[in-house]
Amino acid sequence: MKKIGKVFTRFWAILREIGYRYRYMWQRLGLALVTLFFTTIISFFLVRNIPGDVILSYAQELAIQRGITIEEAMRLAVQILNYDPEANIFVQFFEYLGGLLRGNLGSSMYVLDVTVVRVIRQTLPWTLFVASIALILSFLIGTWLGTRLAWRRKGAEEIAVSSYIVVSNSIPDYLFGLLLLYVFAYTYPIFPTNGNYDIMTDPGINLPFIGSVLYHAALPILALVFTQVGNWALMMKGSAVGVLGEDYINAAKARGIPDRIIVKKYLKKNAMLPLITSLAISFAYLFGGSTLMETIFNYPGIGQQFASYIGRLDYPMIQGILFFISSVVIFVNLIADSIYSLVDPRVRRDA
Amino acid sequence: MKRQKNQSILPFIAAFATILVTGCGSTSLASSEGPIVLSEEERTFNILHNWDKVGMKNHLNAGTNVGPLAWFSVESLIQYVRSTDEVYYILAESVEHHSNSTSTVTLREDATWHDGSDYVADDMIAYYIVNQGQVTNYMTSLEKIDDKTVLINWKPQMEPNERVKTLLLAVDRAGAVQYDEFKTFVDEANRILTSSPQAPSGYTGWAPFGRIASQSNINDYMANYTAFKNYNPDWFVGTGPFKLSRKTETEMLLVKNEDYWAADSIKFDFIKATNSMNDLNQKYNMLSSGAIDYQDGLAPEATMNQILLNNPKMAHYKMFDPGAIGVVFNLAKKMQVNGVAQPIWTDKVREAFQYIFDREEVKNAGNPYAITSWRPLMTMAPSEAQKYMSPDKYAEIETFTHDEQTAANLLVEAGWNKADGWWYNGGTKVKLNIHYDGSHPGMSGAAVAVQAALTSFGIEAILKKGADFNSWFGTASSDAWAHELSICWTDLNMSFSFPTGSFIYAYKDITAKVLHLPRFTEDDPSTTVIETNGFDLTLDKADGSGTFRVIDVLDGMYYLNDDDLTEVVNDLVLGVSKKNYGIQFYQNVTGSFINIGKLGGVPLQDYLETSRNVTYVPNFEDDPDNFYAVARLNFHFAYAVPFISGDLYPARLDD
Repeated sequence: MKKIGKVFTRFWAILREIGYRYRYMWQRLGLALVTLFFTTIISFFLVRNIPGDVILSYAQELAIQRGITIEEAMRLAVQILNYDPEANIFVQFFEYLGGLLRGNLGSSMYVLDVTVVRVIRQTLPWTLFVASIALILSFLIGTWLGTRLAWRRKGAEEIAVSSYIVVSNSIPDYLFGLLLLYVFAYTYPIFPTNGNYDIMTDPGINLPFIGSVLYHAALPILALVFTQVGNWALMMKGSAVGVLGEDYINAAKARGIPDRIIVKKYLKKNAMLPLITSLAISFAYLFGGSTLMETIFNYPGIGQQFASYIGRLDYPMIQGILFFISSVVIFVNLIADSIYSLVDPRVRRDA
Repeated sequence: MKRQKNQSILPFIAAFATILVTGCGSTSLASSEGPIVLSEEERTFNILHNWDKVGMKNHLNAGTNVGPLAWFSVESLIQYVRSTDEVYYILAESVEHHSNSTSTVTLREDATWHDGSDYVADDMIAYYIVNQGQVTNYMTSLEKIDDKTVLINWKPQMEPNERVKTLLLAVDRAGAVQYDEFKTFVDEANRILTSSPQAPSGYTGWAPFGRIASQSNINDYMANYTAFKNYNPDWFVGTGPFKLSRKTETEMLLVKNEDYWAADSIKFDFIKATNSMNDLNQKYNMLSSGAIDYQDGLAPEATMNQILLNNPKMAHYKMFDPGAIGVVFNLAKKMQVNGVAQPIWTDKVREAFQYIFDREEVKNAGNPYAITSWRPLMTMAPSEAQKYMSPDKYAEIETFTHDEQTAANLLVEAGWNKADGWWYNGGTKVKLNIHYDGSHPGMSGAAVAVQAALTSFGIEAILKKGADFNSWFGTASSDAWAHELSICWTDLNMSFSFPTGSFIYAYKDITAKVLHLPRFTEDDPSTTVIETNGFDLTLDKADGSGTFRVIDVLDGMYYLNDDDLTEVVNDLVLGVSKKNYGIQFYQNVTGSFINIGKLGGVPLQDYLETSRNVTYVPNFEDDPDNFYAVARLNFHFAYAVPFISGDLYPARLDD
């Protein structure tokens, strides 16, 4: 009995130790859950207050599609939609919350078997594909440019790159997307105007399909890269300038180590560290904010699908996707915070 | 090291080369049919449409948007052309109406489904049994005579006239339900229907096939209907001239149905559709670059000219839209007059407003191709009113010129006064909010012109933009939030042109709610259950013999003969026009962009030689052939009719 007591005391001490040592992370986790909860409440009631009558909206769509009167279309709409406009909003909220706890993010008012999970499964890979390639390319190019700017702070190269940064930061990404589309798809039809792959290719691991996917993604990726590179270059420059003042850089120079090695091994690696956490956060925001770019290129990612559900006032789908995107942003922020605390013990201690 | 760097670039170069080689590949095929060999591109009709990217099901009634399949794959017994009511017999070879409240539908011998099976009487009956649409409320039963013949029994107390019977049959897509494919749901719907009691004799309320369902039966029916719409067949259920071949989220390819009964008339082999997000920029760019061959609707004048300049093969035709755009007053709105809340829109004020606007200018701002109207709100577009009213009564509708002095005199009579260049009512400066649907270019343009005219006249006017029709209507019909006036459809027929469509839009669906007309209440002893919550409006009869309640004539219009119909339309239109409830600015005109380099057989060739922006709008009285031919150029109005009839074909066949 005494032994059991001892084991229990020891176990409790370990738990307390873990709790104390990682108290910063527990706090962040708690905060993340609270944020998610309030996000869910706010998004539910915001979505329900989007102006417009969903039955009338659908009836109008049916009337136009089928050439029938609004009256007949209203009758059909009530029959077809899985939505009761008279239901109490608080009852609907608790049903929604119950669904979330059971892992059910919701299903479309128009077609029951179109669930949020199905939409995410079908559209998210396309968004991730474009967003991740764009992010990696812009990160690599941006950090490379930022390092060069920090290392050589005078000359034509700095003027050229700085000008580019100013221009790319001033032009909204959607405007650049439109410009690319106009020049390279409509005026000079080098790239396709829309879509994710050619209809005549068979999806799968085959060269025509892979080539078609890359071909269709080229313009959206280019638009995102162009507008992201400037930010990364600016952040990298700031970070690298700070590193340049460190003693170990001066020591390396004094030891006669070639510039190329100093830049690569001493400067770039150390300056890039703080940017790694930003990379995670940018990734979350990039696919959360992909709606406009996907709409411009008619690219069937989650952002475009989200926009179409807003247009049709498909409340469960809007809520579900909003909840998913919010969760990802909050989760990625939590990971970034955790990385900070692991990398820098002062953050843990301050907590 | 340098060598290594160069090698690391190679995969990127290879990837880029793959992108270009794969993407820019040519897909030219030649056909050996006929003396003229057309390339695949010449035999492909490219359009922009939209459909559900996720979860689109393989039948029309699933509640998913099936895009171009609704135009080219799913058919009716009879197809009507919206705005002209021209009818084409599609799945039905003929429909004979008999004097004993019956009609015989003879189906085409060679009408088939896309899976190869015959379209038969069971299929037609299955559609109506499972969907129970509006027309079934006028039927008592459908009887199968043989595989290709169906007898319709109409309710004697609600028997529509022959024209309406035909049009009602034309509304439904009877080629959307194949009995064998949907047997389970059709049989269950039939079981529920036959277990419902017969409606009492003479009953005119909602009773599909003369049956009044109990709540339990309604629940069963809804459950069955939900299962029906969620069912997803292996093939797209249709009978039309084009079949679904391939589909991605953004592209759809339809191929010609070689077994189609009119296959010889159809000269295009493919329809390639791009899924649009209703992005105007995308639409205009695709028209300019020749990526699509057709698009219905208008574009702002400068944009249209630019499209036609960029694409020398593109032309734009205009056709009547059975609707008019103007102002609707919110009759319930009040303002503080000498400290007391008083209605703004008194008789005199409404009359005064008819004179304030130069309607030609408003029309030019809204739609320069439209036809200016100088009349008040009539609940019917001028083209329709002319068609359904007697000429003498149509001429009696008052017209209003642009006369600001008369407007000012009437406002003074109404108790308003002008000081410092602004109008006041009982000491309160008049300030009007103009609410409009910002997604509609015509209404947006007209709203700006109306604001300018009011400001110039001395009335402060503020524009309130609704994001789309839905958000505009949500506010405009609300008791709490509606603004003083709306720029909207004052008169519109969404369905076939029979006049009931316009009046239902006005008195049941939209206009009356925006006008905030008073409603019947349950407390009113003269109100029947059916009338409760209907709009309480009494109008003068056109012949001066007294008054009538609008609600009493609306539901009976389908049963009237031509003379009685003219009389009722005279009463309704002339009666409401005297109320000045709104201002009709212009009869709308819509249009179609047509690639005349791709599509042969287009009308108005003489006009095309002068300008590819064809501004001539043929009307029925003066130019009936072109009136019908131009309306058929709008696929949104006519669906597959221009191909089935052989009107349109690849342009190179003219060579």
